[in-house]
Amino acid sequence: MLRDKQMENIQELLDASMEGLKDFQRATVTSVMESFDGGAESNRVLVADEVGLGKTIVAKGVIATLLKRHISEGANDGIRQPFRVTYICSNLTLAEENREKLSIFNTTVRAHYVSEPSFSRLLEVARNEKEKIKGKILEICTLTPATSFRLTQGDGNVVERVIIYMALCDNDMLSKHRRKLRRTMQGGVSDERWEREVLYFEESYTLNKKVVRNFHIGLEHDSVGYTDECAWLGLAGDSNYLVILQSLCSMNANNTLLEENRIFVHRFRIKLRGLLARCCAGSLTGDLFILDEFQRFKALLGTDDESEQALIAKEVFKNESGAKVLLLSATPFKAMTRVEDDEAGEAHADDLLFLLKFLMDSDEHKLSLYERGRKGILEQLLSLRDSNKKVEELDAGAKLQVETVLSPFILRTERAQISKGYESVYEPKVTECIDNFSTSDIKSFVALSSIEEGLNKIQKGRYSSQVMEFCKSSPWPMSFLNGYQLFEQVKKNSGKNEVVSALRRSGDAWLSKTAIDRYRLNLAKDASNARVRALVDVVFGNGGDALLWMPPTLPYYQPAGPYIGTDGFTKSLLFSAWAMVPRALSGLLSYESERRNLSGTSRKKKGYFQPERNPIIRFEGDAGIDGWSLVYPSLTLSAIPFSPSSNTPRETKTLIRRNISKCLPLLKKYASGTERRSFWYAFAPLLLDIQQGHDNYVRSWLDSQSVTTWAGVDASGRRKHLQLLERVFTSDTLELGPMPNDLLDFLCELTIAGPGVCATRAWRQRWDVGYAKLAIDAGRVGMAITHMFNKIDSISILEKYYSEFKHWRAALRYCLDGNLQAVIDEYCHLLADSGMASKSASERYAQVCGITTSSVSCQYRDDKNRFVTADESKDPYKLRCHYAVPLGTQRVTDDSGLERVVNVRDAFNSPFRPFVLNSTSIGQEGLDFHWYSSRVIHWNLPSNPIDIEQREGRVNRYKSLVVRRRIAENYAHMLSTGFEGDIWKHLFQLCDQVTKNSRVSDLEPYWHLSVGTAKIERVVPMMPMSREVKRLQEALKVLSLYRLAFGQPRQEELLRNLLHRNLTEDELAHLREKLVINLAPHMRRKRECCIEKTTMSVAAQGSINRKDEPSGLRSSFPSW
Amino acid sequence: MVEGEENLELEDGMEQNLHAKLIVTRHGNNSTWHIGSANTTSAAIGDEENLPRNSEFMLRLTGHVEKCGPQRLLEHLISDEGQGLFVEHEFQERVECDDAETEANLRKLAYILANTVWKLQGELSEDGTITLSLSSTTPPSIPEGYGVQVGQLAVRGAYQPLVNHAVTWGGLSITQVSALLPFRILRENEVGEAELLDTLVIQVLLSLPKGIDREKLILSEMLNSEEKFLSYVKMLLQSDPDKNQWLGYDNSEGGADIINYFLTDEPIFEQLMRAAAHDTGALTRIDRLIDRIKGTDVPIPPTFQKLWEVFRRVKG
Repeated sequence: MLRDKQMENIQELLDASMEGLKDFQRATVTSVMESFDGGAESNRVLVADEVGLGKTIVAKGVIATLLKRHISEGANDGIRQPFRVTYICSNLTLAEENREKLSIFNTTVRAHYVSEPSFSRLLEVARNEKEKIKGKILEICTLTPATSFRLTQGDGNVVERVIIYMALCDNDMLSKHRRKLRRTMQGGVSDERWEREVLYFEESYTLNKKVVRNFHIGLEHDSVGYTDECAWLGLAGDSNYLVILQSLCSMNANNTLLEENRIFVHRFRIKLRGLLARCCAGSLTGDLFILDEFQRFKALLGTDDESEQALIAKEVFKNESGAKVLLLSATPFKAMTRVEDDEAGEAHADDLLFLLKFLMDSDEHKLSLYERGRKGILEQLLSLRDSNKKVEELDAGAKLQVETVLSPFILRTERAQISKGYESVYEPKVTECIDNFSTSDIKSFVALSSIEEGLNKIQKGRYSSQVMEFCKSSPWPMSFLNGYQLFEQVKKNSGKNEVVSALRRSGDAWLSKTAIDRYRLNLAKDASNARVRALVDVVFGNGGDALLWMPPTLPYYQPAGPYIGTDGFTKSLLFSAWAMVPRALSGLLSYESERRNLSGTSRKKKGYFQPERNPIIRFEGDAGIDGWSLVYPSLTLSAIPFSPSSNTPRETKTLIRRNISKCLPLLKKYASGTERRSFWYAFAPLLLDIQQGHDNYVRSWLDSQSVTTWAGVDASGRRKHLQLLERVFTSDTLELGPMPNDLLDFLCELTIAGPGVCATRAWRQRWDVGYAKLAIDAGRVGMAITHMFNKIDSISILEKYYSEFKHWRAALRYCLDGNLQAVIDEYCHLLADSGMASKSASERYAQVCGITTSSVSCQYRDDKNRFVTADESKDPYKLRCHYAVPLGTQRVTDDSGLERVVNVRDAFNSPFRPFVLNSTSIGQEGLDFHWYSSRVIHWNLPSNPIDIEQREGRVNRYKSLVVRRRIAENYAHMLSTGFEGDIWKHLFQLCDQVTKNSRVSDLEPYWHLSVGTAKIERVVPMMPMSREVKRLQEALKVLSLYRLAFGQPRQEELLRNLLHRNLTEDELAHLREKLVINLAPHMRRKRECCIEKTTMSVAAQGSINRKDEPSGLRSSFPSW
Repeated sequence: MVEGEENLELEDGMEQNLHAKLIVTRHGNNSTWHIGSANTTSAAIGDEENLPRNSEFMLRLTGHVEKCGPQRLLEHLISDEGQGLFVEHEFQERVECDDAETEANLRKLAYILANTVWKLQGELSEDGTITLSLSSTTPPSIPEGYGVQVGQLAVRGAYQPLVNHAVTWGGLSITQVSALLPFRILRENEVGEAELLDTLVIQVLLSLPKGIDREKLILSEMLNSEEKFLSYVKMLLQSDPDKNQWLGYDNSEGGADIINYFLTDEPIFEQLMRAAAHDTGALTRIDRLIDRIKGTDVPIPPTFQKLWEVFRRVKG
């Protein structure tokens, strides 16, 4: 039972958790609550906010509000049960992440009030914990039905099988067969493991009586439907579970070992598991169900699908207990379908109607109201076909009717609805690449065509139009077509005369291995594709090839070296429709970045396929220990502050020098003896900390380094280094010889830009974790960044720009020139802001800096084996992908594929390489790429125009690069000199304050800032005078109007009717006001509030001026 | 017609998206009209889930073939003294020459006309049109009672009597200028009317002022906008499109959709590429065109100009 004081405390915490919500999110929470309180009798509410507006935050707000109510309702008689939320989504990672987010309280409070989830798999509903810890008020359970069947065999993992086993043993008819039941259920696990699991169950759990009762009824009454197998067991074809079980249990022990018997038992276990799962689903209880990515479940609603996903969905929606159901989905239905989709039975109108029926629980009255309204809108739209009909004469009545009917069930906020000038953030760069078009484009096409012709002679061809697409999409297309039908056919027929002679003439369609190996191809000149040649200029921009990380949005001093003139550089997100494109472009662009960094010396070294892997910074063996200086998270040096200024790096160093020279005398005493002087560099930072009394800190760090093993490499070399470093603790006898002359200078640079030092400084401003953890976490970041300099692409950059330095010193100089501190601070802000704890954040650094260079296979002109199918993993001639990487070539149907996708996303969402992400349509939805990118390249136009919007939405989100750049441009000067702390947090707060009174919603400044010159580039490179030129024009027109066709059948035809009218800007504004459905709670509330105020003050003040009010319709694209 | 009636009879007649057809058939003595528009589209007949959207109708009218048969309809449509919907070409009656004298005169006159050295001199007027004057060094002698008119093939009603002094035509465009001239031979009949005896076309010596390259002028007049130029290029690029290739188009691997390959005519870039691979003759045709329009004011879109430069290089 909770004491009053505690209750008060909780109420306060809950109130505080609502504080974090932005105004439009709060409006949505309020609306959801209104719906739950009667607006939506079905208790089903769909929050369909546009992606990236924080649906999870809204869910959190709903939980907090309901929980508050739950507590105050239970205040008198005590809270018996924690408030149970069951969160259902499609994958484990998301489930884990969101379970934490939805737990409302921060980590420490959470431990007090939030109970451990009772289940995370459906079958676990069948067991109850023996001792539930009292005093908990909230429980968040998660289910991931989509993956749980895949992750294990169909008969469940051992935990699940133990539950089934216990439930079977509980049956009177079966309880005497415990041993034999065990034989049936144990499966492949060892006896010891099985017994341990059973023991654990018996100690910790009891069976859920209701579930087990239903299970037993099912055993007795349900037919298994195993006709053949039953015959084999000598049983009747429609035998129930119990009969079969008894028959199995009566079987001779030896018999069970027969192979066919094992298969039977396995299949029978799957059946048993299914039965128990159904019983569990029937007993799912909870106060609130949240279904994330609802569109996935929706598909299962009207079907006979027997999957776990469908099962859960159906049971949740039966909703006999009156639980509330919150559905989340950014794309609950297709916003716009084309004629082809309509004909394929995927029409938008049907899709929406199906959804409404479900949300309204088939409330015929409401549905007919909606239909009437929709038809009214349609009438209005059709009336516009008459060119005499004026837009001003349109009637908004029908639209308002639809809004009234829908708003309790569907809440949808779109960015454009709640901000001003949202469209102006885009800067179109549509280019017909005429200046890049060259004879090699034509030759490549002619060559590929000749192959196609050769094939045609053998069999009737059907690749004609593909040949055009391939050539438009990629240079040297034959080299990247592996896996496509065309290539497979060539491969199959490569011995036939017709193909042989065609191949002989096809040289221009292939990449040359020799040319790649000798770095002889200049992609900007030699690529046989005009668009790629144009693309090279775009993605390398102002010197991106020499960058290892993005120039910081807010540099702390003037950039130098490779970073001069690189401001405004952005990562590029490229979308294509063909799987070959990510492969080709990633390999080629990365190759080009290497080629551009070749300096005179490295050019003469080994070729592309035997790259020079030296020099590198080593952390083991007999190599020098200097590299450790970069890694070490020095407390002393990180405590020396420096803040943004317009100084040069040299001036910044001079300012720091004073602080450092104060410290140096402390080290004087080690300057005796004749030790190797180079030890000084690694030892000095450690010794400084020891001199300040931070022995334990140094120790924690050293310990954390010793546990590290390098990818299976023997750690003895590492120990050798660590033993040397250990000598700092013998400070009384330590003799390092005379100090090197440049030690002071070196320490200055280290203070400003040493990876470990910068990480420590950034960490101390954000994560209050104590020294021991700081040493580990900041140290991990230092190591991650330092290690990045050992990558092949980094080595040549350092050689090109800092050839006079040793590698490790060059690395430090690079960090200095590249404003590493500002880079780390900015990234840390984003990580911390997304709720990451110290450890996860530092592991994220390790993950993104250490991302393994992937590579892509391709086939070469001068490779005898180009048609030999070989093990791709052993292909020595793959193209490395580091500057640019592919996405969407991975399979995402399993968790490892998904993990790779997430890894790539995280790397792209970091300041470090890759700088170009080449994605197929997979990257269009669900993933965000906005932290460091403000450029979307439409390599192929999507067939549905609204996908253009989807793609661009990827980079236009919360605290995106473009928002940060605009903030830096407009607000950085308002920072006080000598500022310390999280600069970005401060800047956003500042901006929040300034814009408070003038903005439409809290979307500003976090998602959008209306002032500033930074833009999101939409790049559309096209072949001159090609089909795409016209298609783009049409697509953009549709895009500007499609919201008008909400809910209507035959959208494409309908819009075509409107396109004829060439409406003006003003007419469009009228149109959207009168006819576009707006379901954004924020605007509705604002309007209501506004009307109230107006009527309350002076009624005669005139009409409400809504002219400035943004609306969901894109105005148009005058600048395209 | 439909709209007109509609607007007359209805107070607020709405504009209809009506594209009616008239089909006339004949069975024995009966003739049937089907007028209106009724197509078996999904918009018309609906499908499993959607109600029909269009109202489709056809009117069936049946009557006697003499009253409404095809012949009667044709008469109706092209009668009305040339004021009907269609104007029939006027074949002028030629007077049959019964007598041998007339026959001989006619032949003689035709011979004279054909053997006269006609010079057709063109002058460029200030407004850019051309004035043509016809003259001959030795004017033909025309027998008493006969008359000769000369006209322009491409200009209706341009006949003028051929008298001693030169005949001129003004305000002609260069495309109307032809070295072939129609001559009419006429004779005055008993009541003083001129009867047409014969028409013959004679090739004359056409000379245009220096600087007028007639072919080029025709080209520039034909191709007087970028669109027209591009259409012409596309026409030259048209080889024999093989729709079977497109029918077999395999879209299973994503990419552009098939519908565009059917419905839109292929843009220039794609056509040029295909020509480079399969039909270099088409490129030669374009090359010749570009040569021919050198020095004319045919507007070539700059993008095309650049694009073509590259193709020309490959061709060469």
